[in-house]
Amino acid sequence: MGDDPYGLEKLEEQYNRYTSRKILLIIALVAIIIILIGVSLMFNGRGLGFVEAMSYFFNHIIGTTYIVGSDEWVNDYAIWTVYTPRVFMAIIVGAGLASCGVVMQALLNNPLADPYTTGLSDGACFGAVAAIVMGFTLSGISGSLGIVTNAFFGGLIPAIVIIMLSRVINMSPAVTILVGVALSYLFSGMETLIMVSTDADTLKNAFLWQIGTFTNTDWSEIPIPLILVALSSAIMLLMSRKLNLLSLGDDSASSLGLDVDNFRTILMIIVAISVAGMISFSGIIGFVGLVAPHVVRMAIGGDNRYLIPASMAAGAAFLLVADLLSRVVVYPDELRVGLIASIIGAPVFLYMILKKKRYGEGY
Amino acid sequence: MEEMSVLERTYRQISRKKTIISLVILAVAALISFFSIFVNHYTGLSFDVTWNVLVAHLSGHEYGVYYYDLIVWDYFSPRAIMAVFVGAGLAVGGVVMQSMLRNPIADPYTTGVASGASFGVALFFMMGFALIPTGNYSLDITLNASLFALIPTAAIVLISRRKNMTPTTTILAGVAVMYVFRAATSIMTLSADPEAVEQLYMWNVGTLVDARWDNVWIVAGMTLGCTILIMFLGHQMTIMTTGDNGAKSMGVRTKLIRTISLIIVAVLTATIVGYVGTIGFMGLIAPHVARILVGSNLKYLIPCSAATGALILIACDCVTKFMVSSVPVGVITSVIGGPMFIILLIRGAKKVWY
Repeated sequence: MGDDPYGLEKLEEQYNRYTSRKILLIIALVAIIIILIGVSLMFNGRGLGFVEAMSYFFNHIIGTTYIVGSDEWVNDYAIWTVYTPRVFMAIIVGAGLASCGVVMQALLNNPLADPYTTGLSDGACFGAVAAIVMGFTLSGISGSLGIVTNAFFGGLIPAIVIIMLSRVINMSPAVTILVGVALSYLFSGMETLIMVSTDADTLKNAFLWQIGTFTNTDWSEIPIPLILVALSSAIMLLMSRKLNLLSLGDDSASSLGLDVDNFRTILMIIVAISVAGMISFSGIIGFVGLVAPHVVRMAIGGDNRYLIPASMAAGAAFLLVADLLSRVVVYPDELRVGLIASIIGAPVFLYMILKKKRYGEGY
Repeated sequence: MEEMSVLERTYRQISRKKTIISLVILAVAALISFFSIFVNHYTGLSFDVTWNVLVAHLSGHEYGVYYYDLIVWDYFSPRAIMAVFVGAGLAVGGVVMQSMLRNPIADPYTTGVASGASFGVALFFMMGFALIPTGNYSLDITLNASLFALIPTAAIVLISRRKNMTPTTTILAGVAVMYVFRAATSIMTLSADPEAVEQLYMWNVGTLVDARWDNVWIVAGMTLGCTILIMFLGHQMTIMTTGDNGAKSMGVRTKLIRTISLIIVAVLTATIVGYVGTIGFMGLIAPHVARILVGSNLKYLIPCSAATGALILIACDCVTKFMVSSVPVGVITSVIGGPMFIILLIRGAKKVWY
């Protein structure tokens, strides 16, 4: 007692223990991701096992090359060119959607918020459907690249409208979210207008675009989402302390010196660009962005400094598992990763909700 | 004493104003509803002919041309009534959900009613499965939709009976169940033939064209009955909007009230969905518009939302009847209602939510 009259050391020790638990969780999740990469690459159609697949993977990274046409070359091709891109895509999209989900939930102070809350997904669908059904593209490019650019710009429209509105008037989080919902209905209504006028086959194609998939991802699709997610996550991590302030409510946050309006605008722009970039390549993948933050918050609490990286890791791991299952369950056919994500994720999520006592009282 | 009576008088005045607002909206809705019978762009019936048909039918005569009578009396008249009651019912569902779950983006479908119904209908279109086979095509769809719509809510109610459930967990459980049903529906669509996918898509958008005299009474009765039941809970629900702990200390059995109201809304919404499909957005915006008009006291908010919902839906249905090609009413509510709602929000935003 004499050395530590106020129990400060004990408190600090306790705090450190909590912190190290959170960091441990993040490290464990990253380790799981690395293992999952290997497991995912085991299903390569070449009969390579876990260790072999991983060694091809790492050998390629360090620059090993093989004689063209040899067995090793074919194996390398299967691992690196066919399967690695989709694994990377799953990680990038999972991590990106999860971090955007955390930020949106914090910014809008609503547990139902997800990366698409500002109407992004419906805007993107509208853009994509316009390209698929009417052949109309903003970029003037036809084919799949036209769909991608349409989805990207379509997704940005509602986000831009919201952000501009929030500059003109002083919108509370609740109003922001309602405007987002209104915009998403507006866009899905316009999308429906296009859809009802088309024939059944095109409608099905357009319908399927909306269910995200990583099938046939190739390396050329990786850089844009990767750069967007890396940059946006870095910024979010840097701002995570300020994000914590928002949980006190707008008034308290601004009395603590945070420029709430500007802060919200900037982060929403970042989320919008990042999410639009991801979904224009992968299609709409729901659930991860909503659920990964909640699951991680149940485990380690609401401190965004740890919540963001842990959610990213959890989201990535989750989509990797979902992608893996989507390839394995009806092998050699494939299901869509977005479906598997919902079907395995929802029961797990329900279970966690039931286990966790008094979750979400803060909202 | 003088002070009190002034206060009381002001309060009475405000209350009367709120009642009048609701009544005016309802009257306008009824007017548009009547007017909508005369709007029939694609049949080309003129105003006089429609009027004569109505007069002839109501006075018990037969109008000369059989199919004029069919169109005016058997198709358009029930459709006009259906729109009013569907709008009112969905709006009441929205009010209850938003207040009970304390979330401004809750709507009648938040507990997964739409996804369950859609799953049931997909089972019918894609697998030919009818839960209660009646042999009647549209009745099979209705039963499938309504009964499957109740499954997610039943799950939520069971879950929310447990200890330590907050509105947040209830909402999230609803979202989780919704995702399961939606994914199951999507899996069926993957292998289904495009025709069935199109049928399901059209059903999901929601339409009022299937309204007939024999189903409009069911929807009208359910809406009236459930709204009255909800009105009885209005006072306790208003107290609950301040938070569960406060409400409990004032003697409100929060869990019971929440469960009962969720069940009433689910049954009402499931019935409506069974007959008209999942008309979205209505149930979300009508309560907000009403909130801007009369504030958050559920005693006034519930009737005002019902009137507003009726007005919005019948107005949108009128618009669809003006259009040359047939557009589902759900599209109009989204495309026209969306921007109008945003404008309303911007103008009346500050005082309404938080």
